[in-house]
This record gives sequence, structure tokens and C-alpha cells, in this order.
Amino acid sequence: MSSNIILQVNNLNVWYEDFHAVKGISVGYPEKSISAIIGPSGCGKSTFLRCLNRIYEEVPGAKATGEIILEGKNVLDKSVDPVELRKRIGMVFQKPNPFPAMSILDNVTIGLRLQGIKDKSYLMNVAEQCLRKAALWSEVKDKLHKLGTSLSGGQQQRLCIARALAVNPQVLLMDEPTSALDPIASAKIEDLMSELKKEFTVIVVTHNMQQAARIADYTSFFVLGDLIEHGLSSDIFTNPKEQKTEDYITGRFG
Amino acid sequence: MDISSADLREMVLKMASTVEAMVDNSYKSSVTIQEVFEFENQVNKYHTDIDDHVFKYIALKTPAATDLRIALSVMKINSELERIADQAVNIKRNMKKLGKEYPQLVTLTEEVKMMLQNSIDAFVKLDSKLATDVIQHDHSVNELYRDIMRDFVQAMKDDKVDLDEGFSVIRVAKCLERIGDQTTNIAEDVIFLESGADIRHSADLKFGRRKEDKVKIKGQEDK
Repeated sequence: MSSNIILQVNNLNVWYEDFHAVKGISVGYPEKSISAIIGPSGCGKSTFLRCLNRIYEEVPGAKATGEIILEGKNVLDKSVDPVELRKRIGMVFQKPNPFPAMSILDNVTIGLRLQGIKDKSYLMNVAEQCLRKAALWSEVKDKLHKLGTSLSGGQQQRLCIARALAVNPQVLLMDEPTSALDPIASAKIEDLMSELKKEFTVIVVTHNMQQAARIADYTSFFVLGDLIEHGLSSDIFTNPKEQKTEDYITGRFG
Repeated sequence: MDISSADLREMVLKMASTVEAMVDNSYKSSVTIQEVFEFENQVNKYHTDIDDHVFKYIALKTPAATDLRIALSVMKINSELERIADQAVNIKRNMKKLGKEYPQLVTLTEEVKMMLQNSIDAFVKLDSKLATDVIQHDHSVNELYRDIMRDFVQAMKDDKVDLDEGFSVIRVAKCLERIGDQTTNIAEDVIFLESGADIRHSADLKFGRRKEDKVKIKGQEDK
């Protein structure tokens, strides 16, 4: 965990048509850390996450203003190519979504092949490294040519993480990555996240507060599009500054 | 913040070895009170650090089963160790006033040091049997304390011992006897940690009350 801010969000606002979903949020994410975003349903946490690599743009009528600074550039700028951006800021979704017609190996290497890389031994090398980083290698090394969808849910989710790692991102966004998984598979993903932060910066949206407490160095609490509180998890979960945060984490909210 | 239950145990062990050294030194005339205070500062630092770690560990890791029992035991043993350190300071203060060495105090000190060491060993090895030995041993420490009390009160009555000297001997003995009680508490925490059983306050039932109380507990009446 370092204190170098890799991703700085300044006064970010998001509208869906005339619905104001994210209201003037400013927050910085230190390099090689895990940050969690918690909050009740509809508080804008997924929208916020989806702005960071601009996939919110896929929603018709969505509009974002403000700044998201990565390496000195505002990623919201029209001059930034979203495809390039998403190589730098990868994403893993709630439901594991391996490409259904592709083998395990192809799922991991698709990003590189789309970039035009054809060298088989290089692709194989990257696939092994990424599957190892995703703690999946030992379970799939003998069946790399089977379909990605033949794996269990937890394995599929780790395959999606390996796929995201293959293009060597700096930041990994995770939108409720364990909510479709059983506790054992969730625990594996949590362990994996703690490993990943040695190399990557992870930002995770979760409904599971204990998960945020267990794995995240920093936690942000959102309500109705506002950032109520952001700080070290060890402060947020032991002595939050805001009454709303206290009420939410003790289950008295609303 | 990464804290594991193993980290908590390790911190307690470090604190315990400092406290053991303190008790040992409190009796040695070659060690100054200033040196004992330096140990106490270390112990106080452990006391607050351990509580802070347990607090964060429970808040962030929501431990269950063995991990939860470790967190709770560590917190309780932490308090006992800090009190033992305070007693060691009291012992040192009174030892300074003593004109000579008293064999009865030496014996009591050795017994109490052994109890303390065994209670910590039991914590390290999660050994309930050794913890039970510590609890049972408290009786002989209490007997030794009462012997010293009786002998020195008598000696003071008979003008064989100076009053200041006699009271200091009794105070040292009282501190040692309290340390015996505190190690018993640690041993009870170890049994809770190992098995989840809370045997506090049932120890009298198990091991008998003081003879002179002459109180018969239900189920223990003479046949």
C-alpha cells in the first residue's frame, strides 16, 4: 500500500437523462491498495464505478461531468480512447461472464489477440502468468482447451479476473464480484484480491460490509449519490465520523 | 490493515515475557526501581497496543469460533498481565524497605513465578491440563501467604520484628498472592480459549473452599 494517488476523481457528477445519480464526488485512490464502496441500493456506487472506465457511456442518455485523472489525463475527455482506457482500467462484474464459445485459454488471451498479438508461445506464457495470478492455474492447467463456461461459478469468476489481468491494467474495478458465489468461492476471491493489490489498485463495490472491512484498506460510504464518508477501513469500521455511516454499518439505517 | 489471530497471540507472548522479567527483577536487590519502571513502560505500551489491535481485529475481521475466543482471551489476559506488572512495581517499592532476605518470601516468589510461567506456557500450547494445575496450585500459594501473615503479625506483637519491616514483608506477600490470583485468571482464560468452557467461579466447587471458612457447599457435605 503506498500513498501515491493513481486515480483522482474531482467533482464527478453523473446524470441519467434528468436523474442526478452521482453528486459532485471527489476522492483519490492510492496505488496498490484495495478500496471498497459500500452503501444502500440505488446510492450510485455502481454508476460511480462504471464512470471510472467509462462503460457508463453504454447507457443511452447518461452524462458525466468533472474529472477522473489517470496519469495526468482526464479520462472523461473525448480525446481519450475508451478502448485504450479499458486496458488501463479493467473490470470484473457481479455475474461471471466468460465468453461462452471460447476455451479457457482463449478467454484469457482474447484481449491480446484483439490487439493483434499472434505469437502462440507468448500468448501461452501470458495465459499461464495470469491464471497463476488469479489462483486458477493449478485447477485448469490440464484442460485449457475446454470451454470457459464448463468451470464452476467461482472458477469462472477467477477466469474473468485472469482475463482482465491479461492486458496488464493498472486499476481493476470489481462490481460485487462475490455476490453470486458461495462463501468458500468468495473467500478464495477475497484472498486473491489481497494478492492482487501487490501489483494492482483494486476498487470494489460490495453489498457485504464485512467483506469491505476484511479486505479493503479504504472504504467509501455512498447514500443517494453523495459520498458521505471516505477513509481508512480501520477508522470507518471502528469509529466513523458521520452518524449516517455509523447507522449504516450497525444496521440501523433508514 | 492486516491483523491475524496469530499476531494477537504473538503480541501477548511478547508482553508476557516482559512481565515475567519484571516479576523476576522486582525481587532482585541488584535491580533498581528505575529499571523496573522501564519494564513497566514497555508493558503499558503493549497493554494499549493489544487492546487497539483486538478492537480493530473484531471490527474488521468479524472473527468466529476459535478466532473469536482468541480475540476475547487475548483481551482478558492483556488486562491481567498489566495488573501483574503493577504488582511487580509495588513489590519493588516495598522490597527497598526490607533490611534482609526472608526465606518465606523467597519460597512464595518462586511459587508465584512458576504459576505465571505455567499459565503462559498453557496459553502457548493451549494446554488445559497445565492450566488446571495452575488453578490448583493457587491454594498452596494462598497457604504460604497466610503463613507469612500469621508469622509476621505474631512477630510484630512479640516485638521481634520492627513494625515498618513487618508491614513491608506482609505487603510484598500480599502482592505475590494477588499475582497468584491473576495467573489463575489467565489459566481460566486458557481453558475458555481451548474448550469454550467458562469455569470461573466454579473453581471453588471443583477444588474446594478455604478450610477455615467451614462452609459446606451443596453436594460437598460430609458423607
